[in-house]
Amino acid sequence: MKCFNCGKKFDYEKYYGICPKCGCFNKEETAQEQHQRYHDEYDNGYQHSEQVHTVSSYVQVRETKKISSRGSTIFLIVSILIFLTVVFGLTAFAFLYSQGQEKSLQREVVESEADHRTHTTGESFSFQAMTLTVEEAWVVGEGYKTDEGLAKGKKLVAVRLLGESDGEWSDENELSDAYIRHDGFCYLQIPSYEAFDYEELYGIELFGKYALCGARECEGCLVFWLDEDAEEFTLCLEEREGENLAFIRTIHSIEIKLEEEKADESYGEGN
Amino acid sequence: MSRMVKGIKMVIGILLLGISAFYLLGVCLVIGDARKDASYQLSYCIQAEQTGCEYLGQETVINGERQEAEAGYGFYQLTFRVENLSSVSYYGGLENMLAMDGGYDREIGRIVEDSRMIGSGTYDTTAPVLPGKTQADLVYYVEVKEEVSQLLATYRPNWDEDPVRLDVMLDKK
Repeated sequence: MKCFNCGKKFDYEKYYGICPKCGCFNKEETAQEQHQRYHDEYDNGYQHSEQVHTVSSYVQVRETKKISSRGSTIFLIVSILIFLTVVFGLTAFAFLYSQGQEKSLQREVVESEADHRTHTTGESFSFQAMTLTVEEAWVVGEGYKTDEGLAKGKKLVAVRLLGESDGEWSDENELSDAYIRHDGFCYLQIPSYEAFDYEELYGIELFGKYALCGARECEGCLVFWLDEDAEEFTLCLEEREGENLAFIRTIHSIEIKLEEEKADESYGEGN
Repeated sequence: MSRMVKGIKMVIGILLLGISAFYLLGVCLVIGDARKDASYQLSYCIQAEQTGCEYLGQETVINGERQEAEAGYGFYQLTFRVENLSSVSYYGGLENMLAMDGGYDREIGRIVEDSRMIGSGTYDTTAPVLPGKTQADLVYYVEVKEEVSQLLATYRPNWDEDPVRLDVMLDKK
């Protein structure tokens, strides 16, 4: 007989229907003969499908199922590959891209140049989207005279600042940390969370970082520590620009001379 | 059975593709904000150079106090100009900006910083800083072995960069 699978001719009796080439089991009777035999043996008059399932149609069905199953497996594998590529590939890409941006921005900031402008007290000047005026400065407390938690060897100085803006909430109306220059060194302003104590103690109103965000006008003070023997200093305000105000566009310097009379008067008022 | 397995495979595949799509969207947002996020990571950038050297002898007055060097040592007043090229202030304490090490030969004895560089303890804002785009002159008084003519100083330009070596020339004239 001829193997239905590989077509090899072999002796059915000798090999009990098993093909010596491919090992496939072959039945001697054809599908039609088998169908007829089932009719002869079991026919009870009920109807049944007239479709004759030949061996080759079984193979086709099996192949179709196999292809369908293979398709879903391939889909799953492709999905896993896409997932892994997206997760690992994009994570690596995002990390490297962020690193690149950090280095690039740092380089741009370092290579950028800042202008320097000098002003006097009482002079109004344009600052980002604001107009600022440094009015006056006075001593509000002296560490060597009092025991009220002031730094030893330093005096607490307040600089009155007036500001105007368009009242919008934007970076352009934000004031970056101010500092003073004295004796060749720079000293940052006392941060708000620390200056609040002095605000209450000496009755001064602070000019906050966001004082002109959401307000068209503001008047307040920046406070600093100054050496007890110093009578003058330079207030510096950084005018900034760019993403998150990363770049210093201009440093505005205002020469300030403390007046002894005003200092004494303020100190007296504060107490 | 095989139909159920096939269904499970399809569902897992679709889920993975969905997660990938969301992840892709997230990464796109991160990339879009990368420059703004980078601005939070900005750091100071220090550049230093030696601008002066003065031999003060074995006995001298530093910060108002009389100082005497060990036998075989003498004091030098070393001045460095430091500049912050970035827009972010350097808060690390100017007295710590430069490090000098005499090595195993103990070429360096004591190092006394200019008292103006040091704040008054608990008040952070009493200590000088180096804001962006500014410079300052740092003065160190260093006790050095008499026969030594050159020292090595190091500083970090940035908090995550390797230290930069600076050759410090000593001149007794």
